[in-house]
Amino acid sequence: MPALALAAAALIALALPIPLQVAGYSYFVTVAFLVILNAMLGVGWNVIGGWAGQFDFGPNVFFAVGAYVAALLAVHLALSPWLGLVAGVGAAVVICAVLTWPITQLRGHYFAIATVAIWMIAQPIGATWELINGSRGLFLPLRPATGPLDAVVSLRFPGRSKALAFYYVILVLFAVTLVLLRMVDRSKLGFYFRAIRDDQEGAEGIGIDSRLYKVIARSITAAVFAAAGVVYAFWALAVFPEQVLDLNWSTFPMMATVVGGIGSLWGPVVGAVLLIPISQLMGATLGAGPLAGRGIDLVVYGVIIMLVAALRPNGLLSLPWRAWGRRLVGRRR
Amino acid sequence: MAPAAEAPLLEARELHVAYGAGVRALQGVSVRVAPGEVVALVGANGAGKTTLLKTLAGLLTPVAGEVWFDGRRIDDVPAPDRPRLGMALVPEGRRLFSRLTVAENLALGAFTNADPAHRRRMLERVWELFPVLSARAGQRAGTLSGGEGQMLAIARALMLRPRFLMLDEPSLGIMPRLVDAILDVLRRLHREERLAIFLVEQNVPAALDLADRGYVLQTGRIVLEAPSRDLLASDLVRKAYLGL
Repeated sequence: MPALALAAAALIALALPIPLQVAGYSYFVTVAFLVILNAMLGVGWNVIGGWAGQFDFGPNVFFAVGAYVAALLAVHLALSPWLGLVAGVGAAVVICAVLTWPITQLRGHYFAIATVAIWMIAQPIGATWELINGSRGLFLPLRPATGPLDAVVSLRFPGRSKALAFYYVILVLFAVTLVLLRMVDRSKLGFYFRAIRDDQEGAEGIGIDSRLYKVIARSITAAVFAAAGVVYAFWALAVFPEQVLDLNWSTFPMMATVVGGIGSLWGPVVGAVLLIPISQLMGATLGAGPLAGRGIDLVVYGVIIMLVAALRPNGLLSLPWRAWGRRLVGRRR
Repeated sequence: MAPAAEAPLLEARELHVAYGAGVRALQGVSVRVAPGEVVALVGANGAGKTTLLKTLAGLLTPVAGEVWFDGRRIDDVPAPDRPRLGMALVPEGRRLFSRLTVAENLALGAFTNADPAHRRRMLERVWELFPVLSARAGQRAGTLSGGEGQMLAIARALMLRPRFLMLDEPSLGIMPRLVDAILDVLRRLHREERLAIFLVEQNVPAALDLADRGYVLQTGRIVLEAPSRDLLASDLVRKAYLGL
C-alpha cells in the first residue's frame, strides 16, 4: 500500500469516531468497532486461507477459546484482560496446534470439512461443559473503574465513553496485528506458506515440511482470532457458546477477505470496511420498514460477492488503483 | 570410469513399492549411483520410473527394501528432510510456485540453507547457467514457457546445492532446441561440479548420450544394466525404445 494511502487510512481510522461520538451517535462508533474487529479477523484468516491456501471454515473456535480463557481468568482470579489476552492467545495457539496437526494430512476440501467438524464438535462442548457454565454462559464481574488508569488496565469504561474506548482498544490490537503479520508476510515463513499454497509437493521437494508450516499458519490465525475474542468478551461483558461460536465469526472475515483481495495483507481490511457497515446499517435502517425481517443484508452480501467473483476474482484490491491514482495526480503535473 | 570400485553415493536395495492393496509398482529394484556419475533410467510408460524416483526422494514409502545415501540408511528420513542430505528431485510436471516470481522460486530453493553468502553464490551460478531466467527474474513463474519452466525447476533444485540430482522427464513437452540447452547444462554440471545425476527420460538416445551407464526398467523390474554404449547397441533397447 502506498505511503500516502496508508497515512490517509490511518488518519481516518484515528479521527472518524470522534465527531460521531461528540454528536451522540455512539451506535456508529460501535459499527466502527465491529469493522475493525472483523478486519482484524480477516487479516488473521488470510494467513491460513490466503497465504497458505488452506480453506479454514472454523477459526471461530479460537475466537471462543480466547473469549472463554480471558473470561474464566477474570471471573475466578480477577485477572486483568491484558493478562487474559496473553493467556487466551497462548491457549488458542496450543489447542490449534494439537487439533490441526492430525488434519494437515488432509488436503483441499477434506481439510475444509475437518475444520467445520472441529467447530461442530466445539458447540456441544461449549453448551454443556460445567467449567465454562455450559449454555448459561459466563458473566464478567461488574465494578466501576477506580480511575482512568484502572479503566485501561481492566477495560472498564464508564457509560458513554465505552464505545469509543473499545474502538481504540481494538484499533491498537489491529495495528499490532498488521505490523506483526507484515513481518511474517515478508519473512521466510510467508514464502513457505505461499510455496505450499502454489504446489505442496514442489514445496516438500525443496525441503519444506508442509504439515508443520500448515500448523504454524493456522496457529497464527488462531492467535489473531483469540486476541479479538478476548476484547469482544470484555466488550460484551458476557460469553455464551452460541454467541462466540456463531458461524458469522468465521464467515464475515472470510467474505471480507475474498471480496477485498485474498492473499494480500490489506485485502481483508478493504472487504471489512465495505461489508460490515452494509450489514449493520441495513439491519438498523430496514428493521421497521417494509423490508423488515432479518436477512436482507445477507441478500445484498450475496449480490456483492457474486459481482466481485464475476468481475474481479482477485478482489477489489486487484483493481488498477495505482493507475487511476497516477492519472488523477498526473493531470495536475 | 570405474563406478563399481567406488562406494556408491546412492543405493537402492531390493525395493518393493505397491499402490493400494494389489498394484505392485516395483518388484525388487536395485540401483546404484556413484559420486559424480550420470546414470539413466529408461523404460516404457508405467514401468515404474517415476515410482522409483519418488521412493528415492521419500515421497513414497517402500513395502520392503532399503535406500542408502552417502553411507547412511535413509528409509525413515521424511521427504522434506532429504534435500538437506544433499539430494534433490526435479519432479515430473515441474511443480513450480506459479504465483511467485522466478527470483522468489529460486530463493525458496535456497531457504533451507542458512548461509546467505552461499545463497548469493548459488544464485550467481544459476543465473550464469540459465541466462534466460535472469532476464525473467521478476516475472511470475506461472507465465514461463514450458522450457523456461523446466529450467527454473532445475535451477530451484540446484539452489539446494545437491550432490545427487534426480530428474523426471525433463524434456517432456519442451521444444527440441530447449531440450538440448537443458541437457548441455546437465553435462556442464556433471563435468564442472562432479554432480551425480539420475535421469529418467523418454528421449532414450539423448539420455544415454549424457549418461555413463543405464538401467532398463520393465513392469517394475530392472531387466538390463550396462554402460550407455552397450545399451545403445543392445537388441532390447534398439527394438523397444529406438524402434530400429
